[in-house]
Amino acid sequence: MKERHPIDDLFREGLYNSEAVPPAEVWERVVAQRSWGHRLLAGLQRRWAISLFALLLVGTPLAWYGVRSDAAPVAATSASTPAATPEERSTSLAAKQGDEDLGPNAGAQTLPDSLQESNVVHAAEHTQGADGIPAPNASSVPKQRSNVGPHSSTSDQDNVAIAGAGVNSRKTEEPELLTYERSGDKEPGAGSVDEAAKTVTATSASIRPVAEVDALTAPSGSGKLVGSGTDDYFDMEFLLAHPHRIEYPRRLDSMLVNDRPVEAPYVLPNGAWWLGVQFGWNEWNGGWTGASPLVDELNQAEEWQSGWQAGVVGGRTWKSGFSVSLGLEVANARSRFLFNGAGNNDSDTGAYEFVLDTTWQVNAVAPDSSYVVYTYSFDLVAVPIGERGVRYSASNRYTLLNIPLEIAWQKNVKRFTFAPRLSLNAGLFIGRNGTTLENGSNVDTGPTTIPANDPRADDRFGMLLSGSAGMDLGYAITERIQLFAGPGYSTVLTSFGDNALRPSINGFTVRGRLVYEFGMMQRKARP
Amino acid sequence: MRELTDQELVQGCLREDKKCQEALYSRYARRMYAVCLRYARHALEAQDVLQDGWVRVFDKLHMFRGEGSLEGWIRRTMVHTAISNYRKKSFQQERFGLEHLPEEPVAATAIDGLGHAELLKLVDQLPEGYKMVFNLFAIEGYDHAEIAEMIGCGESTSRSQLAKARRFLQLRISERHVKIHEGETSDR
Repeated sequence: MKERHPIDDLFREGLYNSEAVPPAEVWERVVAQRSWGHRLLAGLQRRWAISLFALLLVGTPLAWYGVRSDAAPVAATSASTPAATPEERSTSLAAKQGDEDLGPNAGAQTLPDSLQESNVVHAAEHTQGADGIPAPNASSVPKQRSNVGPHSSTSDQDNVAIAGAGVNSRKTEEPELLTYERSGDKEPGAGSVDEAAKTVTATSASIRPVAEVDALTAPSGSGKLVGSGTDDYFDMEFLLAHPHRIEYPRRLDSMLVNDRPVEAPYVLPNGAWWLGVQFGWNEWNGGWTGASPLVDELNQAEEWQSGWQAGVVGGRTWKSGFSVSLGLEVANARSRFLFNGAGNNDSDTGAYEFVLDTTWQVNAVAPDSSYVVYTYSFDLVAVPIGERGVRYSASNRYTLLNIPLEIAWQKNVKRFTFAPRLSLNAGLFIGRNGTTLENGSNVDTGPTTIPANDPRADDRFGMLLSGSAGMDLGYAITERIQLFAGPGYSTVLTSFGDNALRPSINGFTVRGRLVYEFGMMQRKARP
Repeated sequence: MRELTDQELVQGCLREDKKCQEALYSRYARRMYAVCLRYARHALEAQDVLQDGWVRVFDKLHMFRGEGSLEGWIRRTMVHTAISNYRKKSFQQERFGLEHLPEEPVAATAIDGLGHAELLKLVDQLPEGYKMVFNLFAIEGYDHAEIAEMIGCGESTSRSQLAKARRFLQLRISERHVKIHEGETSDR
């Protein structure tokens, strides 16, 4: 039901069929908006927005999760060394079977299985907190953190001791030599622990020995893991002050079971070399810059368009996440050159046109006479034909050899990598096709054009030093192969060519990169 | 030269015939611009709405089944474009405290001589929310359910906004009438 009102009818009658003349430019804008190029650009902009949004949507939580996962380095290490468990188990099994291949100190490894089990169970029971959660020091080996003498281990515990001889893994210098001793069913003082000890070394602190966690014991089995990375330790003051608070690193319970790694069979190298291919697409803006009077006319004539780039890149990524790479690329930049030459009528082209020149003259018959004579004269005049408006149109293509030096920081979260990057790029023009202006309208001879690869234009195309920033999202296809993709923005920082006239192009870039990583986890060398 | 019918223009536009598109635009642009002026805050915004509306008309013209008048279909497209623009600008539903305004009938003499420009000016003075509802209900002829669906509000809100818009317009028309009357008196 429509409840009409006189006011409604008044306005409907007055306005429904009213007309107003829109500006003519509206139609031009409608046509432009419906053009193929505009739709493509709009589509690209939409894709840009979608990709950026997706990148932020995916990357931010992953990065956040990655930062949080740093709080549990041991768990992360155990997760990143999936092959360690079977290796460790096989080693343990071999040790249990008295495998002589383990070396002369194998006796220290050949703990009776039941003894190991009972020790751990006992330790776990001994160190359970009030909430029943086993404390991280479940193996409960009270020993000094750094000064573990040969006879200092297992003095008040039953059997298993993992002592750190000269251990100071709180230091973060890498590579760090960690030495562990494992003493078996030796009675305290019954023999030299050195003889029975199996010494292993690890070159990385990223796989932290459990001894580090075991190094201190809380009286009540409660504790707090403080810090992150290699700085984890138990704060005794905190333990005593807050016996009810227990904060465990994630999956710490995996350390408390019997098959905890006595020695780290794998270590992460400090860094890994990689080699990759990369490709990109650029949407260029900008133009020419400098003090030359030709700048304005050249900018009006030349409209920069899209380009592409492809090449190889190699680099190294460190454990800290930082990555440095150097590459070699071939890049292509396109522009449309459209110039309406005003022409120069004074120039001698060798051609003439004949113009009929007519003149009316009124002359007095005599100086003081009022009588006049009208004369109509006509003449045929030869006029030289000068250069008239010429329209130059060309599709310019510039080819560059790029040497990008890039620094990036990578945060790996499972198979994904989130990598903001900064790079410097040296670009050398190795090819130029098309047309450019040699002179503008300001010179007497008028504007003249020359081929873009004319030597007279060489000075303009010096080396370009550009900078770019971007953000990549990577995905590990396999353990060694990663695919990165992401947006960036590039701009020319300086040019080493003619300062008066040099290209200054900038624009957005979408880049993809396929990387093969050479260095992975390495098997630790046995002593 | 024979003027092309709407149906022929539609067929030509579907073939992306530039001349037909321009002819269609020329035929209805002025009327549609008047529609846009009623919904927009100012002329530049009306031109934007008109531009977007025509782009949408040409893009969606294949959806016109010829069941109604072409002008009505284009007008609806323009109105929907204006509403989209209204939503994008996310205007607040202004509340000017018009509840206290008396709803009194406007004298017949008060509305005499109100021309198109004055009516448009009066509509333009309406707060955005009121203007949208008043345009849709009073001038375009949509009912409250349709309006509620189009602009994403409740029917009661639409009714309320319409009532306030009417009061606002009545007040303005009455003021104008008083001014004119006072002018006539002083002239004497």
